[in-house]
Amino acid sequence: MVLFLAAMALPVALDGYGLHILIIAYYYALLASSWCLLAGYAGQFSFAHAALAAVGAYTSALLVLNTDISPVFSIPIGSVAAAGVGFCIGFLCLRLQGPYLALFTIAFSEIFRIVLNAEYRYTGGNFGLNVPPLFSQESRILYYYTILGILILSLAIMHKIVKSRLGLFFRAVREDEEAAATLGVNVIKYKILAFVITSFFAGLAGGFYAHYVRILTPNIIQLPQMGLIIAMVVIGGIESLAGAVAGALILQLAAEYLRDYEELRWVFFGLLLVITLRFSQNGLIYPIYKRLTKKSEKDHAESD
Amino acid sequence: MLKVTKLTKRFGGLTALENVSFKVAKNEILGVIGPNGSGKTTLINVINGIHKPDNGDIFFRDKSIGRLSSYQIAKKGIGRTFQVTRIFRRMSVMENMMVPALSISRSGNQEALLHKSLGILTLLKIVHLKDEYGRSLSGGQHKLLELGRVLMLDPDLILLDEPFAGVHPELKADLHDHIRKLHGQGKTFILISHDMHSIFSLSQRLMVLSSGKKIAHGTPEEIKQNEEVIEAYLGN
Ligand SMILES: Nc1ncnc2c1ncn2[C@@H]1O[C@H](COP(=O)(O)OP(=O)(O)OP(=O)(O)O)[C@@H](O)[C@H]1O
Ligand SMILES: [Mg+2]
Repeated sequence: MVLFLAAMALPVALDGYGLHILIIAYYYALLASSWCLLAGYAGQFSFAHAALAAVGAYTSALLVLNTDISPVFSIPIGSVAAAGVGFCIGFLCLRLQGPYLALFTIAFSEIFRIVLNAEYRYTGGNFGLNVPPLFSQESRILYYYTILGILILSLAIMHKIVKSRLGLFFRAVREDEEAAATLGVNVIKYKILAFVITSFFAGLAGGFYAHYVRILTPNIIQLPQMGLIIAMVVIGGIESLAGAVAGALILQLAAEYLRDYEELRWVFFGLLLVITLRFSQNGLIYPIYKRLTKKSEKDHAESD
Repeated sequence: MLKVTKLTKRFGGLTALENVSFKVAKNEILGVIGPNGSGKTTLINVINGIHKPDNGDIFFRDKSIGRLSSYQIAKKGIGRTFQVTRIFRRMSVMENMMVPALSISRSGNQEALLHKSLGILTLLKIVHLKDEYGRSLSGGQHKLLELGRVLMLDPDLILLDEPFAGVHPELKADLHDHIRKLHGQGKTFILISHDMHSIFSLSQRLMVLSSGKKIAHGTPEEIKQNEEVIEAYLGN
């Protein structure tokens, strides 16, 4: 609640550049939290998430450029297109596990990036595609509240999923597909569903991004992008939506703050990632949060 | 209740089951014994849909289930445990129980299901562990939780693969009681075990597998006398 109020009030205190950084951070938070649902909860360690954001981004951008439709409608259509591609990936990956799933999704991402490059007549290729803005006014605040709203709504939906029957089945599939099946869980259906739902949110993030930054290049699918999303989730705590959001905000802000160190900061994040993987299954942020809340509970109890 | 006809299952060049036929009557406990690698686990895997039969068919309540998926077979009322337990390790005991509970009842009154699983956990004497992670339980507790999970499916036929392996004697006695009690409530069992004392005392009929073939069947007394069985076990 406090965080929410702070997020609502922040624009007053920030200049345009500060707002821009937060908007991008919220974009990553949406990507990270939806990937967390896919990989952390449903156990599908896919590398195609950034590519699915690109599906949403390019679909929406090309729709607006080639028809008279408004971005308000094209962004949801782009999200549905991403969900459709997610369905296909989920279907094709049904029998793939672990490294094979990773390889397939990496291959898919690379091929999609190359296609975007090659079809420059439509996509602008590496020169970039000029995308019409979401709002006609040049107002960062408007974009800020829009992405904040999208993020909060998406998180609410994902939280509901995690707490529901669906979320329980996702986790059962992650733990042991065969055991889940013998207990009545339609594994195929829930695996595909995990891809469809999370791809929708990736597409949504991508669509917003396209109409905010207003220039799209295939670079948004580059592997380091995906690496960044994974780092955010792993550092935040792979089975925690809030952790993924916190990881995204912290890494994004740190990346800005450490901008002077240029490439060195990626080395730093890489090290952080390795340390996290080595020492803490549940990320860095989630355990710290747990300890803090436990401690304050204890303090309360003692002061009574 | 269950009829298996001329079941054959091959893995590459290896024939794990060859032309196996048998029936299980309602409310019966059928014991399956045989040396290591004789195809006992494979039999359960085929009945519950993890493997598809290469030949033959399986009928449950007179309907063919040989081509159905595992989850469909589970919903029809066949539950199973695994020789090496397969608990959802990063989920709590209660969550382990709720997976089958929610898979069979879509609308599911959550309260009633929670109540039911608490009842089963109490019966199995692991209710105090309900909020623990699966991975923090002991081997014996895993066996109990697996049984509890299966019971949440409300199955009519329960397939138990080595339920007594690696459990201490006290727990084994408890498991005997649970099986007898469930049998008293009308459940049907196929029971696989290397524990001769347990399987001879619990089963009403026994079937013996060797190298994927059914070499004998009969009452426990008959099997004890059967020379072919003795030979299969002792290897001449
Ligand atoms: N998934 C599989 N792929 C290939 N071969 C398999 C598979 N499952 C079982 N087998 C082989 O089939 C044969 C029968 O194995 P199965 O596990 O059914 O025997 P079992 O009677 O349960 O033995 P045990 O008493 O050791 O549990 C063995 O030779 C085994 O190696
Ligand atoms: Mg076996």
